Amino acid sequence: MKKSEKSSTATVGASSNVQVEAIKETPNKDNQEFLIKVLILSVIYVLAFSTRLFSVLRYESVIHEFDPYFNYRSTIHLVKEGFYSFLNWFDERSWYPLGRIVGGTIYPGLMATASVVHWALNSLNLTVDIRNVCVLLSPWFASNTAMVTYKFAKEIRDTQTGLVAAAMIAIVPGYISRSVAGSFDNEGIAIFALIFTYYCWIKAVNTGSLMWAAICSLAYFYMASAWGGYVFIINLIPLHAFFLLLTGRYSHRLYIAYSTMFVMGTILSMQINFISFQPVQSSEHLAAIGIFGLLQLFAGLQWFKSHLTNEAFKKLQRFAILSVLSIAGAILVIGTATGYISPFNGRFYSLLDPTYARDNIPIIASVSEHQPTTWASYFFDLHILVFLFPAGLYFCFRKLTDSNIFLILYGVTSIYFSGVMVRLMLVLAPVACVLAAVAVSATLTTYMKKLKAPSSDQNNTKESGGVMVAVLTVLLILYAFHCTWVTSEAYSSPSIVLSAKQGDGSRVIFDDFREAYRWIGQNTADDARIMSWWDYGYQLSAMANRTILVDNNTWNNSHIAQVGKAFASSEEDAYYQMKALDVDYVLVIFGGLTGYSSDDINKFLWMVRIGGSCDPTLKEEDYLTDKQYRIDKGASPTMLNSLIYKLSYYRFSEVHTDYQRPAGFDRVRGVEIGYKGFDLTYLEEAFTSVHWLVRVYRVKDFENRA
Amino acid sequence: MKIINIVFLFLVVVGLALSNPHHHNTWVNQDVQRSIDLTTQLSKQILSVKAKSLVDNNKNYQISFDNTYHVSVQAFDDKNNELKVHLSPNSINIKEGFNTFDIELNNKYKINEVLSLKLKVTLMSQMKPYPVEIKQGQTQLVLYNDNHYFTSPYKTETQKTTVKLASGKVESFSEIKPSSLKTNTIVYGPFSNVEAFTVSPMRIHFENSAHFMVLTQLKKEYEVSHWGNLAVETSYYLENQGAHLKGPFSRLDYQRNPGANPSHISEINEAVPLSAADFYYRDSIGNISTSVYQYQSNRINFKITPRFPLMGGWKNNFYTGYNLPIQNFLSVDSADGSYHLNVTFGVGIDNIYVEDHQVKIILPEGATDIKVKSPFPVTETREIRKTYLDTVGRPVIVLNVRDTSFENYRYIQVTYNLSSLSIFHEPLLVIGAVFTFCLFIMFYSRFDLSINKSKVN
Repeated sequence: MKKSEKSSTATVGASSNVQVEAIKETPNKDNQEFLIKVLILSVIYVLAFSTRLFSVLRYESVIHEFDPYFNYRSTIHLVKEGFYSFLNWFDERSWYPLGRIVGGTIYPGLMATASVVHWALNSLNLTVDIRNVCVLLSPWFASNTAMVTYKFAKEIRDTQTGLVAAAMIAIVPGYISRSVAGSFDNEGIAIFALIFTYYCWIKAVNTGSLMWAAICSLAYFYMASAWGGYVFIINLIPLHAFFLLLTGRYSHRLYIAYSTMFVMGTILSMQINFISFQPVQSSEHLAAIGIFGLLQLFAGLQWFKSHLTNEAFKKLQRFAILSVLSIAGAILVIGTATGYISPFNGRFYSLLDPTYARDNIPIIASVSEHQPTTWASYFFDLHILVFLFPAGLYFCFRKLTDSNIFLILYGVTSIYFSGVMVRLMLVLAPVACVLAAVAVSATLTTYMKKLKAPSSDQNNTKESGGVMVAVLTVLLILYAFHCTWVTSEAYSSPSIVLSAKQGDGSRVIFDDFREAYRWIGQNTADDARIMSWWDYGYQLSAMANRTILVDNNTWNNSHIAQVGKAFASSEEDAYYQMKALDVDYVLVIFGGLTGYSSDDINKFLWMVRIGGSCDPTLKEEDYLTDKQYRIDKGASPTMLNSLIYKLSYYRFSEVHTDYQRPAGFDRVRGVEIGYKGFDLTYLEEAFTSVHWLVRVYRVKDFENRA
Repeated sequence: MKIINIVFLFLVVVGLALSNPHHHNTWVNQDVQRSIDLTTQLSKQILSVKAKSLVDNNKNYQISFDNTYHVSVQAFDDKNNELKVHLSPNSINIKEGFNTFDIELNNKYKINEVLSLKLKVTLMSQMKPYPVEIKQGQTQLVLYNDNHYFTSPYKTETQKTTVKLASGKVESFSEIKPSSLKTNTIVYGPFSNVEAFTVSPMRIHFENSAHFMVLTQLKKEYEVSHWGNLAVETSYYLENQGAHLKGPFSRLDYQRNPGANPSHISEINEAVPLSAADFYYRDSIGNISTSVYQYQSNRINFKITPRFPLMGGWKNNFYTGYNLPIQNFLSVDSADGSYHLNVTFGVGIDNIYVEDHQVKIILPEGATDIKVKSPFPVTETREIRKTYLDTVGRPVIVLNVRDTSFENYRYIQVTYNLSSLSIFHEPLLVIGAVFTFCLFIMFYSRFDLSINKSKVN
């Protein structure tokens, strides 16, 4: 039946429906069904883990990208120094000279999880390196997510749907993009926590059980400790409760579930340093408080209703609603006016208004994962789920239940958010899987019944059933192939090691980043301060262990603006700015020799924009010629004299990159550079990596005054 | 000033030598031929010594070095048998400022009997770059310090020293009569009747482009598994202690002409046993893809290229590892059933200088009666390590030696006893764990722990 594990697992879920149906008649069907279920789930478990290992097999067991390096460094700190010292950790090696209170500005869930796993393994004498724990944590959590998704979908609909949903989420590219081995980021565990919270919530609403509501709040606590996306939960659950109220589905089950979850969850989430009093102060949490009040009011009125006459009740109702609303409104107005309740922050605003960041906050707009999602990436990340999603919604609407309403709300809100920011595709992926699973399993169940039915009544439907099942099977197989292909091609490169295919098909490895970071880590003074653009901050502090000025935790816009300004200034001006910041070394990324396009020259306009957001004398137009960004002879003199230009192209004019091109031909921009043969006065080359990807310069001391 | 110093020293030396003569007149050196090879960062000396015993029952010959020297000594008798050398227990009393080594002779020498010895001496860090900083593309000059005379607790009748330099470019050298320089060889002597502990400083300033490859720390780990594998992992803390790089490092100049700086380190060649397999080469931030291993007739040449070329004064650390088949290194004593493990102590890199050398040998869990036999003195401590599937932990032998060189790339032997059943310990543990788990599931699925029988839907 199976050709290969990877291609057929998506269909395993589907074909299981067939078998589950088929064995319903046999006496020991329960046992057989259980066996098949366990078998399918364990295959899914293994598959979800192993499909994320491409990068480990192709490269090595290494942490990827940028943010994971910070998480990795913090985890090492946590493992070495213990939890309390971790919470009190003041990192004097970043944001020089400000430093950063790490313990109070992060979600510690990820590090805590990794260190608990590390501790558990080591106390069993399984001496697994902390790096390997960090690298493999996300794939392992992805497997767990598949299991929770099974429970979630099963709770909403039935076992078949659960199995299909689990199989789908195991390989959905939208989720794999954030959970491949080495991608040690908050999202890796947060999706598990998210689905688990929703599962507990549905369970609590369906049973009205205090225990499930309490477990739900614990799951919410875990989510809140792991990712800023917990705000999504604390808004979606009230929204669900609100819709249940509106549609007349209020029940004591809902009352118990919501009241317990809200009170316990809020108190628990306030234990996280980074969140602290936000649940009662920030506007993002107001909806939850409001719904909590509304539920109490509603429950109270219902109780009164059973004790009062109709007329008296109506009076009471009007009075109660009016007074509660006016008191709540007054609190809100006073709180906002006095600043006790904080307004929405920038990232949240850009969720509600996609154009907000682009116009107002360049630092948010400059991050590629905050860009709006394109249609192509929906298909790329979700494939057939895009088409099955509406079908799933249809099946949900056809038979409305409390949990179906939740699924609809989750689907609709997340599809809106994913359109705003490309990285929120991650939130959409699980619900897309569940909705698609609803569609697939509902369709298959219907048509399999037709196939099973005795052929006497209508020959026609049997054929249509066969066609339908075949079409779905083909779709699912295509989905499996697509997912594997996307994972292998797009999401499995660590970005710290680059590779390119040569003409003869062999692979060249560019390991320049680590070469340069290693050089800095080994051959500069221990307290050396390195200036670089913020993108490389986390990697520098994790791999080189040196003091840096700015990093990927972009909490201080003006500090980043200073660095941007230094890069945009002339060498002499920049020298005094850098001296004022105690900079010893400057690091720039330069792709002109190899053709690596995301280098500092290409990011430079963002530096100017962010620098300009704090210093109005820094104008983007000065670096452009006729609104065009150029580095060849036609470039503006300000551009050619900027520090970034000089550091990138120092002595580059002596290099022949291509045979038919003049010396100093930039392979990324495809032009010959405009300013050649210059010398550096205030800086000197300290190190350049083998492919010139990373160039490090030493800032010279002041001249002797004598 | 210098002459006064020397004379003063000489007087002190003679005076001291005369003050406790009973220690040092056991031998007289009849003839010493010393050849010093200065073509690398080390001073590799070969001495042939002919000494006459002045007493009966003479079983101990001594040699001395200035106590600031980092030195390793190997001694061979006339039949080329290696003799035991160790620091004399009362080295401090013999002569202040000197380290004196005892050489244990194989036979007892009678009065007037002549001993002929061959000594292999390696002086580490006696050559220092001078000037201490050079620019990229400049060549490296070094200053060598030693004694014109063979430093001995005994009187030496005739002696001669030949110094072979790395190049003919000699800036200056200390002249003492008689001495001569011919292209890249300096000959000091012959000198006659030099008293014990006579010191006359030898200084040679010359061009030497050798790699000043120093391992400030070297940690080697052998993990023995009776299932057939000997895993070797080596951590290197490498430093180029040649003349430091002054000013910028230009990648462009380096790529145009890597030979312009002959003293920089761009690769390391390590000799590895032929049976080695599964090589890896990493550092704390991940895998390093630039390493090659080449099969040669009697060894594998493991070519390690650091992430970046080490210019003068630059540092880097990394680790490598490989697996060896255990049967080539472990044998069973047919007499008492004990195991003999023979592994090399040092690292197979030519002309390396190791400041702090540590070897750890991790024996299988349950090994007892552990004994270590080493041809040279080592400091030995014990540890316990708990790793995969261990219960009480594996015994770890930790051996430390300071200031060694490639000279110590020699075998040490570890003897231990291990019950032949203990090999089944780990598989039984796994089987037991799985079995217990299955049992637990069997019982759990059959027990009903609920208080009331109400069905939850």
